[in-house]
Amino acid sequence: MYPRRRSRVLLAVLVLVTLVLITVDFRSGDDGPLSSLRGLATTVLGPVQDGLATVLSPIANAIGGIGDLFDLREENTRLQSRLEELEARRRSFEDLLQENAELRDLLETRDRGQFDVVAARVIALGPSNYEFTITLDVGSDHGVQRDMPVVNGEGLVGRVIQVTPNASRVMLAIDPNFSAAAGAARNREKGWVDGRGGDLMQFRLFEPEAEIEPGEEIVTSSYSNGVFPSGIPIGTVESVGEQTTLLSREVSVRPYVHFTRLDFVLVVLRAPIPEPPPPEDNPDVPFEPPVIPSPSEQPAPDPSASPGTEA
Amino acid sequence: MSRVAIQALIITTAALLQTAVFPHLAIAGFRPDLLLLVTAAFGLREGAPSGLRVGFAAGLVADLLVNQTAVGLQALVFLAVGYTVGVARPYLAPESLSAPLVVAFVSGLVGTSGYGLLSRLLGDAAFTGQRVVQAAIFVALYNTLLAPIVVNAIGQFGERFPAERSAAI
Repeated sequence: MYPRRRSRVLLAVLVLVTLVLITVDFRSGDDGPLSSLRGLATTVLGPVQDGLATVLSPIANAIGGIGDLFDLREENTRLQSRLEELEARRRSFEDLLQENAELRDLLETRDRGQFDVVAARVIALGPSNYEFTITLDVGSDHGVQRDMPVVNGEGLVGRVIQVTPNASRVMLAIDPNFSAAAGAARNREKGWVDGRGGDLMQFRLFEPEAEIEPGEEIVTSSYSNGVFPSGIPIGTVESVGEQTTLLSREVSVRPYVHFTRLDFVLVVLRAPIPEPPPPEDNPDVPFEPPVIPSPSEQPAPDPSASPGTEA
Repeated sequence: MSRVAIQALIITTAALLQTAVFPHLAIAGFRPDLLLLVTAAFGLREGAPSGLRVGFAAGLVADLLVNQTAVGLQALVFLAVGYTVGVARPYLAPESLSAPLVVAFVSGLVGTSGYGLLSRLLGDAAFTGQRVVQAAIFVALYNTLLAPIVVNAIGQFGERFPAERSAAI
């Protein structure tokens, strides 16, 4: 066969193979055979990435640090104005701190032992410029499961999306496919926080007319099947847009977490609470209206029974 | 060690560098696409068949390392890039200084935007037009910077492990 023709045949065959792969993966979803292959790739490459990250990260960080120098002046100005603002608010915080310490004691007593966490090291970042993921050096052998929240000292980092025995992949909170139930820390207004890649995160309020101002803290909320425990800090409101005719408002949120500087994180070992099934209507059982006794048939109230106890 | 084994080693090393090292060198959140650059380099130095095979393998590895797009999508884009660069090779003077730079820039631009557009067509909302354009430009520029090193390395590999004569056409 002529070489040029052989190339064309090879091209046709490989294009066909990729189209089959795309179709199979697209139709099989998260539990298909290609998903297992992805897990295998993570399992095999994970230890090598771990070693490579240990050896090369300091060098890469040093090179990356040169680029950071250009941002330092701007960051310095921003931090100084932030410091002045915080100094002004410090006094009012002291009262709150006292109250917070008391409440924290109560909360810690309740929370201690309720959630376990496992510390993990970030061994790799996603290779794509369109996907914001990290790979951790802990997996199902350490109790990690899919959809578990991931946090660090700064706040919410993301959610586990793939687990292998010795590694797991986490979708970062800035990924455009990430969404989390959230609320304003001050007045508990609820909504959803969405990642938007390199841009600021977006907070979609359930109540578009709700009062929200720049600087307010946004935290996770557990109302969506409890995927995230309540109160994990996400970020602060950067800007609040005008309400549009669609009755929605664009609220930009600057995340607390520096997603390009993640080294260690905590996986919260808490699986989401499955949603209870909807109440079923059984057509075989005839509807019987409740019998309401007439006033003369009702028993007289027992004066000795107290609220909260069974009479 | 056989030629295919060395090629596999090159692809694996590129994937590891891309996931473990290049994220630290990201500018504005974007980083070079080394696997795409390796594909283009093989197409430029060795021709269409080599560009095709390496593009398919490198794209498949890239597909297995991401979670949100279908397996095979990057393989399809990379093999198209490898084949096209290989077919255009006779008109590019591969040994010149400018050819690797031009090939790296154009392949980075076309490969990255092609992958973004295909993902968008398959319904992934993360691939907005703005994001795709930004990523394509950054990858093209970054890959152009790395092109002299990578294309030269692939050229040296080709000299030590020459491809079949017919394969370079």
